[in-house]
Amino acid sequence: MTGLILRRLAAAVPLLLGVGTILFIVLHLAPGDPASLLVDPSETDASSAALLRERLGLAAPLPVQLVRWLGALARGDLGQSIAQARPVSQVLADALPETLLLASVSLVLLFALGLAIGLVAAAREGSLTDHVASLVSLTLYSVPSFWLALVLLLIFSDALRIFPSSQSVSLDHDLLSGAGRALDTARHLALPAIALALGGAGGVARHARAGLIEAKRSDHARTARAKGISETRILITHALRNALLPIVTLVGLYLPGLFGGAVLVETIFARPGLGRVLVTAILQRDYPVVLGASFFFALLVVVGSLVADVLYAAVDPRVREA
Amino acid sequence: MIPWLVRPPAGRALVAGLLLFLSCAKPPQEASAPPSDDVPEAARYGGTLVIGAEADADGIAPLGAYAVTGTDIMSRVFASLARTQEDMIHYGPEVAAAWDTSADGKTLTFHLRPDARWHDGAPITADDVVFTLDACRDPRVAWPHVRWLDHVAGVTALDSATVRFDFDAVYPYQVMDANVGRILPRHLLGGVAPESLRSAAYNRAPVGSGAFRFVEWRPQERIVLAANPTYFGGRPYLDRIVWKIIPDQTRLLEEVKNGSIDVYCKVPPHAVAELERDPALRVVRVPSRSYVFLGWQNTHPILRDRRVRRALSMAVDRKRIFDTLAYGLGTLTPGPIMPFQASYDSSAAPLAFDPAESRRLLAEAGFRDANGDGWLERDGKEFSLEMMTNANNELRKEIVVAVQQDLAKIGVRIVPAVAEWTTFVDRLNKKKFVTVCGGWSVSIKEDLSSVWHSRAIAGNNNNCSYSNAEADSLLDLAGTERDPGRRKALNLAVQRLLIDDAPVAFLFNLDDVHVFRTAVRDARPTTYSWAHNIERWYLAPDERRER
Repeated sequence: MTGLILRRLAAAVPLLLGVGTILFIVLHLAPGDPASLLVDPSETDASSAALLRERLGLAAPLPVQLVRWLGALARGDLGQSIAQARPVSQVLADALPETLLLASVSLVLLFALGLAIGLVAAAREGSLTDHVASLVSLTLYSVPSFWLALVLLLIFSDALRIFPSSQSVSLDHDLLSGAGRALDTARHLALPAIALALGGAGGVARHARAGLIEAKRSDHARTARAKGISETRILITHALRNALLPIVTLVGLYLPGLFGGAVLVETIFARPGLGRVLVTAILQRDYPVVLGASFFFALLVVVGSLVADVLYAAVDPRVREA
Repeated sequence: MIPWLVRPPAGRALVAGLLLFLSCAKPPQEASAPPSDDVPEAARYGGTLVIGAEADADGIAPLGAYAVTGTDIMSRVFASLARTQEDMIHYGPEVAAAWDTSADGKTLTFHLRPDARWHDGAPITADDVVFTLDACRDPRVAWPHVRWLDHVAGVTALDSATVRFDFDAVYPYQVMDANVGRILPRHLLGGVAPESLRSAAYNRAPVGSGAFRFVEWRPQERIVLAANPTYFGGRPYLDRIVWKIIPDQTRLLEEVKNGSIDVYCKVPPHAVAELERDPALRVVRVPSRSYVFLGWQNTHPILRDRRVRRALSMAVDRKRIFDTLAYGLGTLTPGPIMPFQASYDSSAAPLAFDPAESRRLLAEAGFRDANGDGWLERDGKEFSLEMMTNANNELRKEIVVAVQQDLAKIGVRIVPAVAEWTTFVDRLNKKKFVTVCGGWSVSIKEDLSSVWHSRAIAGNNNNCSYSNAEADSLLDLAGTERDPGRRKALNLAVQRLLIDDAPVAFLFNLDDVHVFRTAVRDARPTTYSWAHNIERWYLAPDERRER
């Protein structure tokens, strides 16, 4: 197991370096520069923009800037945000907990809901329940999360007023009791987490149903059935464990989607987070923040798939021994 | 002497507050009458005001705030020597109780209030003012507005409560220039290296000097200020102000309608009619500083011809565009002089809408529809122009389509090109466009030469490369003219040339539309700032909520 983790970590280094270089080049190919946005065009002339560009290190040739950035990155220094004039690491550190909370709650919801739908469908294979479950999961799978977010907002926030429509806590959050604060946070988290989770849940449901039905038809399930064990118990104790194997690897596949979806969902629900940091920074051409945030997303995805591999090894002895 | 400016008689201190009502700006138009002023003074104190903002602040201290939200908040937290009055021309006392001008007009001496204090209790001194000006002009600080201080030759502390500004010229905007940098606390920032002043942690959690003090900043979520009870200008009525950051216009509109926020500034024009019908809301329109224009690149081989520029400009039905796309929210200004400016003349004749004349001018310039396909040609080439605008501005995109239809009627093909904002600015600054639908925010200083003088082609302002020797000499005269009447005449003569030469087609001046919950009382936005008198805003006592 340790060998596996070390091998994967070693492979991640050149991967992340490549990601960083490509990000850097693509970003600088886009026209425009942050210095011109920092000065008021109606009140200043080109010379102060030039001064600012010099100060921000944007005057140097691109390859020099790239080497400087990679060098600093190797030392763990992500540089200074141009628009916010503070270290990129601070900008990311402010936003990271919110995105991690949203993504992890969504991930749990996604798998819980997906497995539940899959289980119900597989238990009643071929019945009306199965068809309805399939329709629901296919619909969820096909609908983009930003659209779902808007519909949820319209129904549960604007019309029914059950959930707040924006931000991560209420304005009076700090005045609430401990339990009140937790409830407040949960209420604000509910809609974005659901919006982000539903699409993936549809996918997981379809995978789970297929895996469970296959496992139900396997030899060991038939043996169990011959011993007189109930269908429900066969499904839960015998089929589920086998069907989980491919689903666990989906964690690694869904993680990038969750972080990508967070970009939209955080903007729609006005939640602070890495996604919004990234969008704002792109519009401002805040190169260091865009690079830092994208790099961080890449890192999270690499770590996420590593976790998925480790999980896979944990449930499947064949991988562990290999 | 210039009677209409803050220029006190030599040797005598001036209480500029007296000049408060000499306004020359158009007063805000009220959609509904403001609530009657029946709340006694003592009952006005208290409550939290929630303001909706589309973007987070970049910083909230003078050297760190450059974007909208940041400068709005910074202006509440920091005091200046003198502060702008409602008309944006005159100045009233703030940290300085009074100031006087030397006989030669080149020196201003400010007398600081002895009771002016920083939020930590330290006195605000002349040393702070000197420190601020030194910091703003230090190249190591790289303050982007440093050119505003070009005419300030020196700043000297005469004693702890008296500071002298020396100018290299006599001109009307001396008080304005002496106040471009809000005063910084030397006792807190004196030890910070100049290179680090713009990125100092202070810029995100400042100890200020204004009517409100900083409480909390949750990045991308909210910024909270509280009343400064010992503010030397008098404690403001509001207890707290919260800027709630919601990066989506639709959500902002929803929240002001349901009362989650009390104020939403600069609402999109399409939403105004609906907001005006809501009895819980008060909509206030103020002429903005900006106008929308169609820019012709004056160096382009086809557009170099004045007849062609006039023809294109005269074929655009700007009245129809204004009424249908901008919902009539603004003023059909004839040229680049805005209604809030002293030189504005509403009777100046604009370039008339006259498609027949357009056709005649284009024929004169050699354009014919030789192949009968409905589009004009010259030398076998179809008359087709690209028109650029920026993606994040719905109004401009709609205008480009309307212009496309108008110009198609005279046989000119417009090809819309939508650029993302940063790309748009870049192409504009590098003059890499043929035609553009853009906007221009006019400086408070009446200075047409910064945009229209041929000298400005080298910079980022004269993007359409307008060059006219007669305009140049008139602009040079206006820049040194001290008599306001003669200056206005010179400015209007330049505007006349600009309308006739049509380097751009001037469309209209937009209004800023702000919406307030009716619980918010006495808010009087100006062209310069929606928060102009926020210290005197209060919340109706029965509509205050704990939050």
